[in-house]
Amino acid sequence: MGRLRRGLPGLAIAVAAAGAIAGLVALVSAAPWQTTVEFRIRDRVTGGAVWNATVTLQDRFLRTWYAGDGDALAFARLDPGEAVLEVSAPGYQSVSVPVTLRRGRNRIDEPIDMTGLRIPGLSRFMISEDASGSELYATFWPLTSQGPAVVNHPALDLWIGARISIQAAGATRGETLFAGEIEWRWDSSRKALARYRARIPLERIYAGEATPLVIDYLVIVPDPLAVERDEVAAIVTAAWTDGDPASLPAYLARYADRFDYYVHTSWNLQRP
Amino acid sequence: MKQGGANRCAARLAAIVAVAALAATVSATAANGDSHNHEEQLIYSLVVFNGSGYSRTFSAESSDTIYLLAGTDNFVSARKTFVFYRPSEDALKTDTTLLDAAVDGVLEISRRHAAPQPLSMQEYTYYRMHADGASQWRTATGQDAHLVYRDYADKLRRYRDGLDAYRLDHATYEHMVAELEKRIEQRSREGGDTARMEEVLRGLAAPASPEFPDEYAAAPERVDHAFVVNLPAGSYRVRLVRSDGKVLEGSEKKIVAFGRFGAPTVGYEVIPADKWNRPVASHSGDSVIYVDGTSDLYLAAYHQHEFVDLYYEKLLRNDARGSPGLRQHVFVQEVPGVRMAVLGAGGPIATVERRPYFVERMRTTSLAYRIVPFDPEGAHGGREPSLAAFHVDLERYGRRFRVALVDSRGAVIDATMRRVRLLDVPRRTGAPLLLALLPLAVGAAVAAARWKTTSA
Repeated sequence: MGRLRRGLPGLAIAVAAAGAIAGLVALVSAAPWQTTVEFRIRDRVTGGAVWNATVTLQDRFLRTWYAGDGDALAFARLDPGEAVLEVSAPGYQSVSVPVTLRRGRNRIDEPIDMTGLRIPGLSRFMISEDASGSELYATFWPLTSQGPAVVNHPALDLWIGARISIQAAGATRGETLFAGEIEWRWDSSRKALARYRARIPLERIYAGEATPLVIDYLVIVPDPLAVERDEVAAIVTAAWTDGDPASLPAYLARYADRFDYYVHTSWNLQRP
Repeated sequence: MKQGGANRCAARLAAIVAVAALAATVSATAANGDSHNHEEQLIYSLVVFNGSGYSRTFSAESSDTIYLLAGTDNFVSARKTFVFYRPSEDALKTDTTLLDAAVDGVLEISRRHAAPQPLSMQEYTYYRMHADGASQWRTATGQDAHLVYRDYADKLRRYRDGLDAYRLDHATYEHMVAELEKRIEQRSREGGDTARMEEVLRGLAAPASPEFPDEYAAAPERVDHAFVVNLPAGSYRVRLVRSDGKVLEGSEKKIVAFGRFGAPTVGYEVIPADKWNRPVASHSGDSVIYVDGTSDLYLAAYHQHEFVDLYYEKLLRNDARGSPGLRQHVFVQEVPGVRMAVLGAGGPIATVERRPYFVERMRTTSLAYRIVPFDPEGAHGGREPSLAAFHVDLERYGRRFRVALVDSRGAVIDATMRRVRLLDVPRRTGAPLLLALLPLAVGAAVAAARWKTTSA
């Protein structure tokens, strides 16, 4: 009995020490040792992927090609403290985001919007039409001066106008059936070979007879740092819809510091 | 009652529809499984030496270790591409059709307590010459890589040009022979002198076909860019660093460079004639080759290396599984310049040469093929042998014998001896059938006895 009494304090100390060690181990294993940060980047116009982006933070960098709004990017092995996250991509305005990194996991909740400035190497647009059921669609292919289409590029907020006329004899434009802006959609699928696609508003053209059509396109590529989308529309819409086509180039040239423009004409189009 | 029947019908119909819908969902999921989980990842693309040749694998983001054979040239590059899981193979795969971008930088490989060893990307190719051993591959980098590839391409082009010229020359030759033969026959029918024309015919030499450029046992690969990594055995850290010193996120991994255990030994591929496409291996000298004696035996001898199973499996496929406690034998190359001695209790019985064989399909239901000596000049012209091995005729050497490789002087090569045992295959008898008939016979006897008693 006496031996038991003498042994109890030692046992209690051992149990307490084991408990303390276990608690310490649990505390240490639960503590986030690494400092990480999670964030998202996206194209400001479409919310989709920012092609060929480079992100740097402290002494680390990462590369991404198809990451868009839904894809989280992350850095690990960072040092806690103040830092600047820098994002750059061809054709985009670079972005610097100051961040305060706490030890452990960090997260930038709001996606980092990247503003597209230009389509790299753009020389002109080639436009092709295709029928799908009773609809007619136009696809806009940005081409470089060397020829190949630029497939992956920033989404610039284009203004696209179409003037649809009856094609008269001798490849001349007859009566104008429609003149105005057409809405484009961005094809964000990875396999898309051209991103801009617009529906030709055939319902706004009277049925008429089955004569071939000719469509004149005007594509305005704005400089997002110099002009707002609404301002582009205000400058261009009336001139395109009601103005004299012959005087249009001179008119648009006055705004060369705010946007570039490209024209294209498609002949011999049959209504689907 | 009718109401209950209708309810049951409706319940059955609902069950059928539910099962069909589930099946459709499952099949649609399976069909789309490969395309829906593609994820953009930073990978290390790996062209690794596996002991006998080069194989390709990659280290996905989920993998933290790269496995390489120590002391060999391996080609590593950091790339961004799409990675997906293919359930049918239980493996990760890359889809490079949309994205296959190399990330530039310097590869830093460091060992504990040692300064990092920086490696720059190089142009490279790898190839094997017939003059070298079967597992000796060469690497050429930089301008040499282009020279080697161009040399091979030039030789191949010259061969093809020569082949085109040969076909034309041969057609001309055959036309001339046919024309001369026709004229000789005609002159002969007319009773004229054909000696001069026959002399010309005999003097016509058939054009020689060009020789295939066979200096290269394995043609050089098209020149590519990668870090050429050749490390002594050990454990390393690796990362990719940009010119401004920034580290590529996700590029920090471990490299395990491993070697083989001991010196190469000799193993056998054991090919029973009736299971030629399902050979088994005999790796160690104390193993016994058991055969049932119903068909002949073919043995192919290889130099073999022994590796840690886990390391070797992950060398071949970085996401494979393996056991760190097991060892794996890997056939490296055929043992050249040897014969096989068949040894009985009293000494050598026969010596067998290694020969090429061809597997012929047979029109029978019991055995769909047979192995016959390869006949390149006859029945198998223009084809490749199915296997090259030592043929052991089991009917000639008794039920127990040994085989071993012997060198050119007839001396047995160490650790190549194997014991061969023919198993007793039980003969088919009618005993089991008789046993099965026994209860029937007893029943018949009892029935007969009762009938006899009743009728008495």
